[in-house]
Parts: sequence; structure tokens; C-alpha cells
Amino acid sequence: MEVKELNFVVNGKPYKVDVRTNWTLAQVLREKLGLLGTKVGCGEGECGACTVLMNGETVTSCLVLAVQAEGSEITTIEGLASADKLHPVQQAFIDAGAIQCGYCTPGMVMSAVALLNRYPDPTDEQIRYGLNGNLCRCTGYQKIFEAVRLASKRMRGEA
Amino acid sequence: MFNISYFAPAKLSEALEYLYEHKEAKVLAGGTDLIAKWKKIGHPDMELLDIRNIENFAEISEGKDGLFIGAGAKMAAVQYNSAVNEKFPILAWAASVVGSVQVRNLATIGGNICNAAPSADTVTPLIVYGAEAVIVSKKGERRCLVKDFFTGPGKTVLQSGELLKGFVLPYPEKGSKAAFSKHGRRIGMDLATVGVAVNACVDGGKIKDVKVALGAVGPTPIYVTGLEKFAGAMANEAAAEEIAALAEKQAKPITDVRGTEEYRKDMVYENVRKCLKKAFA
Ligand SMILES: Cc1cc2nc3c(=O)[nH]c(=O)nc-3n(C[C@H](O)[C@H](O)[C@H](O)COP(=O)(O)OP(=O)(O)OC[C@H]3O[C@@H](n4cnc5c(N)ncnc54)[C@H](O)[C@@H]3O)c2cc1C
Ligand code: FES
Ligand code: FES
Repeated sequence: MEVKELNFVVNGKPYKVDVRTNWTLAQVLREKLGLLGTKVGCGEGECGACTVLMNGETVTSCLVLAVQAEGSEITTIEGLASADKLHPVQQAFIDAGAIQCGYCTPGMVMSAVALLNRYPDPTDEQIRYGLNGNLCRCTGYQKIFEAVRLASKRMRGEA
Repeated sequence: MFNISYFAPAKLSEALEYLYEHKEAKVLAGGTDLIAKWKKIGHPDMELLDIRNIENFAEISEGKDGLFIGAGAKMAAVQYNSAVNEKFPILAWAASVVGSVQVRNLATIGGNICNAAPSADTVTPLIVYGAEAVIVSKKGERRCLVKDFFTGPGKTVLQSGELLKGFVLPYPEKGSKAAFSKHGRRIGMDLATVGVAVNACVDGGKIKDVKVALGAVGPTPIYVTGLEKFAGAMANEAAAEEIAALAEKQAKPITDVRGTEEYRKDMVYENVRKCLKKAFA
């Protein structure tokens, strides 16, 4: 079984770990680094539960081999909050009641963060487009929509 | 099983040497097709050549004879690139409807073509824009029109040792206008049931040149033939209907979960007609 050394930065912290070449990024984050916030749902790119930021862009970490993350900067759900405060998107998900079972939430929040980076004041269409790679089986999406709106307002200082 | 050897060179020459030495090696770009498939078929052993680090592989640049798009350019890059949007708008559009944000941040345009799925969204625009694929190997470089690139489902003209370097898209003629449609069961995150791209050059109300390509209605993407005879014809509804009927005839769809053969044929007709109407306007 081939093993390679992987050097990358996760949530601002540099890591040097040995990984098997057949491991996915999601596996390394969860099993090697113990960052269990990132979920694996489908394992084939469809559900978005495993979404993380790789060099600032959302990717489904179940489709990325760990070795492909060499030299990259990864942000997981654990890396969003500051020491004393949740990220505004996290807080909005709580306040809007956008979480039920919670399995989709980490991935959904990562996509919402990326969405608001691109469109600070998104239209409904842009929210739908930005989140269409994230499935939720519980909420019916309406509360998630409201959470994104709320986060957008707060981040722009309107609420 | 489960063993992967992985090589990610920064130099094209190293990549080509590796491909020459390792006949079974698979090229890894974004991995959205390759890794997903590898998981589905039980994680077989693989030798992977990751091309993402190769210098200039993701470049998009305006050359003299056309726009060059590197095989490693991601869908997100194609979608938002200003030259693509300005000169080849339906290619940007097609890239913008591939999968999800996450998929487009990984998936490359080269992978979309090399995977050779009949439903691949960026293929039909590349065909009607007359794009050429630039293919490299240790022996040198060759070119092949994208319309001639596919030999069967999942099969292309690429030979062992060859790599797709990118595409050259000749700048569109004055007076030409393209249109695209991805007909599916839902708007986001689905493969096309029927894909259509058209590109028409109209001069003084008359057709100078018209190209039509179809996706998801045959073993490979389909370039509709026999349209030369429309040169000189009026660019009107009647011509659009006649061309749509020709396209429908050449479509060879199958029945699957996304639609029946008959439905797909109908949708080819409808979507080609609608796209031509836009392109003639
Ligand atoms: C959830 C999901 C949704 C999707 N939705 C769509 C969709 O809506 N529309 C659509 O068209 N596709 C869709 N796809 C398929 C896929 O994302 C695209 O085909 C994508 O463009 C493939 O590019 P890649 O870089 O990921 O290719 P990879 O998976 O890296 O490679 C694909 C194939 O091409 C070969 N290859 C790649 N680059 C080269 C090269 N430069 N030279 C030679 N061979 C090469 C590889 O060896 C492999 O066989 C989807 C995939 C997923 C997982
Ligand atoms: S687990 Fe990665 S997309 Fe579903
Ligand atoms: S809250 Fe349960 S899947 Fe979204």
C-alpha cells in the first residue's frame, strides 16, 4: 500500500501527515485529523455533505484524493468560528432554525459562506444556484434560504 | 486492490515521458468522473498522472488564430472568463450548468471532453464553435476537430501516450450567433436529457453557415450533417423547422431513466427549433 507525505494547512494550522494514496481528503480530515464536522453522505459528489474550502473554493472532499491536497489550504466547518464567536453564517443557521438532523449543515454552511463571498447580497436565484450542490432531506430548504438572507443582512451590517 | 501510485509533475515533458513509460496510467484532472467511477467499480489499483500542476495547463489566452483554452481550465474558470463570455457565450453558459459549484471548482473542460459522455455539456458548444482539440505526446503535437474526437461512449481518438493539451476556438465570424439549451428533469445538478448547441452566421437575412450539435441522444455527441444546403436560404422559421427535422432524424437516442427515445426525439426537434430561432433573431 503506497503511502505519501502530505503537507497542507487546515484551518490555519500546518500539518505534515502520512496518507495512503487511495485515501480521499474527506477521509484524512475525519480519520487522521479528527475533524468530524465534515460529513460523508453519498461519497460521489452529489450531496455536498463533505464540502470544504480548498484554496478558498468549495469542493466535495469525497472526490478529492488526499494527495491532491498537497500544498493547499483547507478550511473546514471547524475553522469558520473565531475564538469567541460563531461565523455569521453559522449563527444565522441557528437563529433561523435551519438545522434539523444537522447532517447536511456543515457542507451547507461552507457553500453558503462561498455563496456570500461571491454575492454579498444574493437574489433568490443566486442562492438556489449557489446551494444546488447541497442536499438536505429535512428542512425543505426554506429555513436555509432564510438563514442565508439573515447572514447576508448581518454581514452587510443591515441587521 | 486499493493501491494507487500517484505522480503530479510540473513539466509537460515529464508527464509525457511518464505516459510513454506507463501504458496503463490514467490521467487525473479534476477527478469528478475518474474518482467517482473508481469508487463505484470497487477501488481497483491505478497509476495516476495528475496533470493539474503542469505549467500553463489551466491557461485561457487570446491567440492570433483563436482563443486557447487549456485542458486543465476548470469549469468555474471557463464560466467566468471574460474572453469566453464575450466571444463564446454559450460555452460559458454550458460550463455554468455543469453539476454544482463544488463540481465546477474541480471539473476541467478537458476532462469533460476526454470522459466522452454523450451528455457532456461543454462538448456541443465546442463542436459548433469549430473548436480543435490540441493533442500532445512524446512524438509531438496534433490537432483534431472536437466533432471528430469521439469514437464511442467513453471512447476518443486519444492513443496511448497522448494527452489533451487544450482547445483552439477560432474567433466567430461577424454576424454569427450561437444558442444553447440543456433540457433536463430539473434545473440544477442533473445531466442533460437532451443537449443542443447551434451556431448560425446570418448575412442580410440569409444563412451563410449553420452548425448544430446534439448531446445525450446517441453513443457520442452528434454533429448534424447535411446543413451546407441551407447556405443562401432565408434565416426564418421555415428553415429552423426544416433543420430541426433533420436533427431529429439524425438523433439516435435510447430510453433510460431520463426519458424515452420518442420523448428525446421530440425534444431534439423542439430545442433545435427554439435555439435556431434565437440564433436567427
Ligand atoms: C455530482 C456530479 C455532477 C456532474 N454533473 C455534470 C453535468 O451536469 N454535466 C456534465 O457535462 N458533466 C457532469 N459531471 C461529470 C464531470 O464533472 C465532468 O465530465 C467533468 O468535466 C470531468 O472533468 P474532470 O477534470 O473532473 O475529469 P477527470 O475525472 O479527472 O477525468 C475524466 C476522464 O478524462 C480523462 N482526462 C482528463 N483530462 C485529460 C487530459 N487532459 N488528457 C487526456 N485525458 C484526460 C481522464 O483520464 C478520465 O478518463 C458531473 C459529475 C459529478 C460528480
Ligand atoms: S459525500 Fe461528498 S458529495 Fe456526498
Ligand atoms: S438538516 Fe437533516 S439533512 Fe439537512
